[in-house]
Amino acid sequence: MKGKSDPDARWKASSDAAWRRVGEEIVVLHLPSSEYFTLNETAAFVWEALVGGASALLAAERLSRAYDVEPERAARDARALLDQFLDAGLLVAR
Amino acid sequence: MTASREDVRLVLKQLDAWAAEGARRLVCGGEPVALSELHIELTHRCDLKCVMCHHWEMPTRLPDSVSRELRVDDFRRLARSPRLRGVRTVAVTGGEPLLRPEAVEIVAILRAAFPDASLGILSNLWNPGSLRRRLGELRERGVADFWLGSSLDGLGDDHDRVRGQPGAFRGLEASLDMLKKEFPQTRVSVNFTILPDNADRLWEVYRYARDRELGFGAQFVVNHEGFEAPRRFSWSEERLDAAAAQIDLVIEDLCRRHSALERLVARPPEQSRWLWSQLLYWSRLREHGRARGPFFDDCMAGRRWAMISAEGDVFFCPNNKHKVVGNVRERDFDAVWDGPQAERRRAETLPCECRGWLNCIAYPVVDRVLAAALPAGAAA
Repeated sequence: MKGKSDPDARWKASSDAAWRRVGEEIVVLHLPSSEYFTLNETAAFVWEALVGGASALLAAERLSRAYDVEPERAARDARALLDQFLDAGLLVAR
Repeated sequence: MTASREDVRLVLKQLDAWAAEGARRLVCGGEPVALSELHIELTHRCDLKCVMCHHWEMPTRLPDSVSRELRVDDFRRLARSPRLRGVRTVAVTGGEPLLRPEAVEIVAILRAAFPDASLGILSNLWNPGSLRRRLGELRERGVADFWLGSSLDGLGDDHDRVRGQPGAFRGLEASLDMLKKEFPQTRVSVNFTILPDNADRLWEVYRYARDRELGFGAQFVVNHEGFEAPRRFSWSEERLDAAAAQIDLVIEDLCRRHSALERLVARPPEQSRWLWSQLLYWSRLREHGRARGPFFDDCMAGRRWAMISAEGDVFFCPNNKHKVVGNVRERDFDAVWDGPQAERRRAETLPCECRGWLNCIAYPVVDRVLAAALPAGAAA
């Protein structure tokens, strides 16, 4: 099974998570704890890429193109967001 | 789940988006609006002297006011109007409608004519003995399925001052206690009229109503054009800020009590349309106080509501009561409703430039917009 550190691993929203786009933001609710996370525009972009089946690597590439961000920076940001999503129980491996 | 300012911000942001989408869809084409709501004043007589109301002084100012009231036969004829066949809500108002000796007979006529309609009586509820008698008479006539609406403009002396009657609040409480014991099936709602004097009391009255399981609404006072009330009201920035802060508390409480964010994110949104209606109403009420609006292109005035004064004058909206389109003592309702004066007034209401935001008008407008944005069974 592909692990957290595998840049090609694919993810999906956990069954413990519900989410909705509200304008340029996304709200993700962790159902068991009722804790919610408000994602700004770029974090929302990465989230939708990941739950749509993109790997962290691919999400970073798309982020870089869409927001004109340096690839290394995009990769770091996507990686950091993925870690946060996983730690919060919002994403699971496909 | 506790509600925070962030919760409220996100929920209202989504509601704004739905409102815009719903309004857009209605402009592109919505269901035609049918006449479905009838409001009838039975009398101008009242045993309170509310500071913002024009009714109670009319029998004194206009000595023939009582003799000009619609007669019972006028109500029978009105109730037979083909145009009113689709009515789904009837509100009996005044003045104090239950002061009218024929009130029970008139309400019975309306109930018989509109058996499936939501029937409401707007009463000041300040005299529990008289209220008990009237409701008992209605019960004997077989009229039991109706709701009561009243006003609650503060607690204790605050309410009394607005109502112009010492003891008004005590009387209201006694009526509420009586209703709970003797007419437990009768739903009661109260409305808070926001005045500069009581703007910082809204939250405590809301909690009072919530804790007693009463329906609750609020609206800003209207300085009625063409009608003279004891006082006219103007607002300072400080009073408007006070009102806005109180409305914010109500919105936060609604979000908290009903887990608004969780409903928004984790459930089909159309299941909670009732909550979105309330939140959208209150958020626009807050803006209305700041002289913003109009909020929607089409308020449905001239089509959805028929409002009739105690003397039989027909008008489209409480904000424009002086814009009469005809009188049902002089002509049949259908002739008035379809007549040239009514058509002229309808043309004047579109596009909507009126800034009114009253419960009776605004909620159906909000409901229609949300239904357009969130039709049943759709994901949004």
